[in-house]
Amino acid sequence: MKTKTFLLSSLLLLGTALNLNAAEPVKRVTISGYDTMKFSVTTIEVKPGQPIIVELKNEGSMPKDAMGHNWILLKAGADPLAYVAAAANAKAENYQPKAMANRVIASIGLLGPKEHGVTSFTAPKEPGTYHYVCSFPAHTQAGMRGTLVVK
Amino acid sequence: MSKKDLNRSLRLALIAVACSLAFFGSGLFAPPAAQAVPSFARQTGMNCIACHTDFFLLNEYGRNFKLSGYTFAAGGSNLPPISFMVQPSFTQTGRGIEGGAAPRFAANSNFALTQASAFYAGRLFGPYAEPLFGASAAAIMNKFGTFIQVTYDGVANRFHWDNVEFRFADTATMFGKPVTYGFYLNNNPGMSDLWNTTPVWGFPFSKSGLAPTPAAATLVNGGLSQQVGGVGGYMMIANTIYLELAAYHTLSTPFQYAMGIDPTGQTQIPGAAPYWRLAYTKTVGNSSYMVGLFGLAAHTYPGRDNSAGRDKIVDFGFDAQYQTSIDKHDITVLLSGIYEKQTWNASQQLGLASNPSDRLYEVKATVDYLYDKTYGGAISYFAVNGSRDPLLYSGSASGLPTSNGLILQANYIPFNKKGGPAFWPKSNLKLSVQYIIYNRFDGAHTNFDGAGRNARDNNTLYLEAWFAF
Ligand SMILES: [Cu+2]
Repeated sequence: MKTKTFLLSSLLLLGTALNLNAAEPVKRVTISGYDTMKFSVTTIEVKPGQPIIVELKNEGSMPKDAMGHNWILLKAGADPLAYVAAAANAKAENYQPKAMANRVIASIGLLGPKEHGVTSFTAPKEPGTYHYVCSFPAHTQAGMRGTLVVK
Repeated sequence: MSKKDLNRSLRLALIAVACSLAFFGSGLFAPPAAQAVPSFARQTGMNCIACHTDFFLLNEYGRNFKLSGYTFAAGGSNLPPISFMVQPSFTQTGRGIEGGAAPRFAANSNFALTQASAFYAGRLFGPYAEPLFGASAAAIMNKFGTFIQVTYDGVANRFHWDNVEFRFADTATMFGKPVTYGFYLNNNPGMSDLWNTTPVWGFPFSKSGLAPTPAAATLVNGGLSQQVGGVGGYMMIANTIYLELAAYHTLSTPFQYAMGIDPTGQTQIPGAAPYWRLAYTKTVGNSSYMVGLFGLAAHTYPGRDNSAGRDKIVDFGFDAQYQTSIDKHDITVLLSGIYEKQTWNASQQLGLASNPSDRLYEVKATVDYLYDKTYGGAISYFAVNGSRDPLLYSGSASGLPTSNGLILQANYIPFNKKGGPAFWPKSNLKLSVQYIIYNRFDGAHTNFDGAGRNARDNNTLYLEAWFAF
């Protein structure tokens, strides 16, 4: 009985997913991060609920402990500067403070030179502008930030 | 330089380097390296290379750190923001200087302590703002930063205040664009600058105090260092447009003496002299570009003599910088030109200048290279030229300010990449060999002083071990 319910709900979920996929194809974005503390992509436009795959490539050559990069998409209303201020003191957590994890929609962990990372998620259903940052200390202030626009 | 002299210099040079290494290796002295100030490194929790390539050349991260008022912190260090620098050196000029390269020194081949400095640099209250004032007040207090350098000049054998700056910096949003803005007080126009093209932080980053240097230089190029007080404000809009404006006034004689500065013969600014700076900067991939303008306009008393009215000196500077990192290669190109218009209303009357007005030009072009953050070098062309004025350039037989030549430098920065020894990791050491070649010096290639001294006699071999800790 339990197995049946599970199968049924799985099928339903799959159906929903396929349905969504049919409506909105997966959005794929590749972002490069550089030693000059910039993202190559600073605006991403998606439809509400659209599936997204983001890849971050660290194209720099400086060591990870001096110039690592990550990618963190924040929830609506989360202040990016408040998030990165907390992140700057969370080196042990790779600059992703667990205390602020509830403000994060999706993220890619800290990358050293020539490394890359991927994350996949579904865009928020709520139209609006969502900030993404690199939370390595001072990178956001230096311009390493962008926005995901849902519309 | 005869062959025998050369052999002797090389031998002495080797001894200098060996002594420095022994000194460092002995562990008696907490270890080394940079005007890359180690207290900044502790505050940010990062090594010197986070902010500098070949220190004190700044990279993009370093420029942003300075822009944010030396306040950015992530290190969790609870040490006070104090650090030190020591620069033992050896100088050999093409020909010795009769009577000694400086008082207490021989005519040539001199060992010296070029500079020994102490810094209080970083957040004004260091890591102590929160315990002192509580969290909410500390949030404001930690927007104040300082760069305070006090130096012992081993050539002049005196202590004096060096570059000193207090800043406040904050961020804001204007017309939807991020803005970093700030205010400062400092004692040297251009000290606030973010790039290494303007004079205060320009190449060479260190040089001998025991070798002749050209007499002519523009006012903005060191003519007011540590003699003036200034207040300024700046803003960086969208990490692209940088604007800065300040005003400078010459400090009182008693105050200068108290700071270890001898005011005798200074060009005095009795009013307020504006200093300005505009720059456009952009990054493309791992490279950054900057083109800019800077300048200073001052009404001055020559030699602090107010008996004949005021001169007027206006400097217009243009500069450009390109910096890139490609795998293990860090390359920085620095260009600058300064045009100075001098109006000698007072100097001419006082017999200090022959002409009612003169012009002076300075040009500098440098390529700095660093491999694997460890092995580097630089080549720099410099030229000064301008109006002939026999009274103004009295040390030149031709009355010309003309000097030009090349600076070649090789650097070895052994601890740069990984940080200093485990017991004091935020430290650094730069061993460098610098050679300055003059094609013309104070107006001529040969016999520039009318006493038989040639430009090449001032060619300077300079070896230095630069410890910062
Ligand atoms: Cu980053």
